[in-house]
Amino acid sequence: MKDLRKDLVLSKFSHIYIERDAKNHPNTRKIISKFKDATCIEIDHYKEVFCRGNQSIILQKESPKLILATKKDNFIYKGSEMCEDFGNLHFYYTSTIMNCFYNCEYCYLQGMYPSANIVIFVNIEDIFRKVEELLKSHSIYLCISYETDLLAFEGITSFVSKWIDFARKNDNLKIELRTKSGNFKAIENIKPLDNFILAWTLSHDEIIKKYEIGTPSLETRLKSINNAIKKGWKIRICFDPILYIKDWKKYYGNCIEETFKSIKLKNIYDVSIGVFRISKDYLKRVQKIRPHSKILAYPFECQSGICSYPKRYTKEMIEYVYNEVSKYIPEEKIYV
Amino acid sequence: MIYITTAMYCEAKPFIKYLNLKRDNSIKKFQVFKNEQFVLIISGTGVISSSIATTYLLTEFNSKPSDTFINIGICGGKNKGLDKGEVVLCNKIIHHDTKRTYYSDIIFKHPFREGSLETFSNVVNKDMFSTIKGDIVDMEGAGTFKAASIFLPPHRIYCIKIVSDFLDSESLTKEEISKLLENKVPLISKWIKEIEDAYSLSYKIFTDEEEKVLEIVTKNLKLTITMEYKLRELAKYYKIHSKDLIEVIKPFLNITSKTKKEGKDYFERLKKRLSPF
Repeated sequence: MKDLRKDLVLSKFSHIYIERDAKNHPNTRKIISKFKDATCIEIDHYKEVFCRGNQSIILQKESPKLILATKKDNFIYKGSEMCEDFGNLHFYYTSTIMNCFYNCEYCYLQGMYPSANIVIFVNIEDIFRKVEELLKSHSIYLCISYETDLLAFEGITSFVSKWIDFARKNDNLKIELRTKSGNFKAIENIKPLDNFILAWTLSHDEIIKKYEIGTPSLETRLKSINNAIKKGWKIRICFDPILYIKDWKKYYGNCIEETFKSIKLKNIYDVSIGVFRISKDYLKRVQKIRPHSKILAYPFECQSGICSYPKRYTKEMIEYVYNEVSKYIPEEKIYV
Repeated sequence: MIYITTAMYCEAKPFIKYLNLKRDNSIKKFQVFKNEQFVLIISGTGVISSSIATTYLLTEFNSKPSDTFINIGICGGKNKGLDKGEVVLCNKIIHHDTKRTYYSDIIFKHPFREGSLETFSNVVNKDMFSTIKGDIVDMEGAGTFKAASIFLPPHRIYCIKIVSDFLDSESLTKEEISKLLENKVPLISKWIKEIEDAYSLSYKIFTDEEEKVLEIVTKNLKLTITMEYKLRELAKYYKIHSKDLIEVIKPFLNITSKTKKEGKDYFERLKKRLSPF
């Protein structure tokens, strides 16, 4: 982007759009109370704002707005084939928040949603009810932070705490919370759970600076991980997505070394490794949104609607990262 | 380019004067005034007239997604907290007849009060007070917004209204309307120019020279559509990594392939030169 004068841009969440149905929900009142200067605008349905045509995701990332809504259907989804199920039979995910205030250049959400504004579904209790129904038939592995970074929003929503409470009451539910946040302190006083995995995505600081704008440094993420380990939480480390960039070996090698030299290994539940991959449709949209992106301009190969690096590069990257990780972590704990 | 619509000449007059706009006499269907940065059209009163004029303006002048559109005019205030002459930037626009709603993307700081606008098909008076949902009312906003939405993104479409009355059927003369707007024109114009200059996204990757070179190579090597797509994809990647695209393609500029197979061989060599790392 050229010439965007930052002093002209309104602060994040300067405006909060509130669905009429969500207006009186206790979570709505709690969230609004945190943004005393925000302009609140009543809407009938979140899609009136979220799904407008021709929105500029790049500009909205500079000043994202909050949209408070109630989820009426699609409370829970079957896990995507593009995501690792870690050997769990009944793999699902759910979205209590759509979008994230981090600005990762490679993020598939830019291709998935028509807007960078953030939708919070305040009626989390309806999602709990749906999960409880499913739990009557079988145990569930549920990812709750795929389409957002739930821990980064904890100060606003307290949804992570609510999910932990819910998981505590349901032994046959295993939850994964994925994050890049350094906000473990928001839940540090909560007693850890065996069926709740805190999963941190890690990258080298050069990659964070260039491509994961607004996210905490590697050091901050590692501090959070160490604090979580001290408290007894199960930790998953994710080197995913691995990007095929110049000197990738150096970056990922250093990142893995720094990671495992600075955290205690005993509470590492497992490690996940994956190269950058994205659906063909999303890639087209993301490339249009960020025409000058060095990582998105790569001439990807597409197979069965999924685009990624050529097989030989994918293999080379996975093997390298796997070998580096296996210096510290037993192979049975490494998922590719 | 900045496009402005007003319903009446008396609303346009202060802008024409302040921005030094000149009448475009080649346009006979509407009164259009312009300079190098602004084009202003007088739409006439009502939702339909305003949407027709907006569509005409943005089509006739080949608007681009990077342009800005603003509907400016007087409005009635429902909310007594508003002052006469106050400028309102509309963050929600309700079309009273259809109940459809429209929203500007308010990304930039502004010096105005924000409020919701409700657009009616007829003049609104105090008897209709209980049916009004907006903070202010007019007869054009929703029409212009819907029409402009076809051409421009929501962060480039704004309705700016100046409160002229409080539904008390106070009839203002044309001179009074112009006077009411006149005081606000410098503030509104300054803000519009500021946000117009503040963001310009460039989607162009190749220079004209690079485009020409790619065209020559595609033609000379008799590349298929798929091969041409691949060439442009690799060339874009090469260029984005700050490398000299012309230099790498130069050796292929004077090659003409006689057969498909020859073209294919040359294309493979070119691909290798452009391949990442």
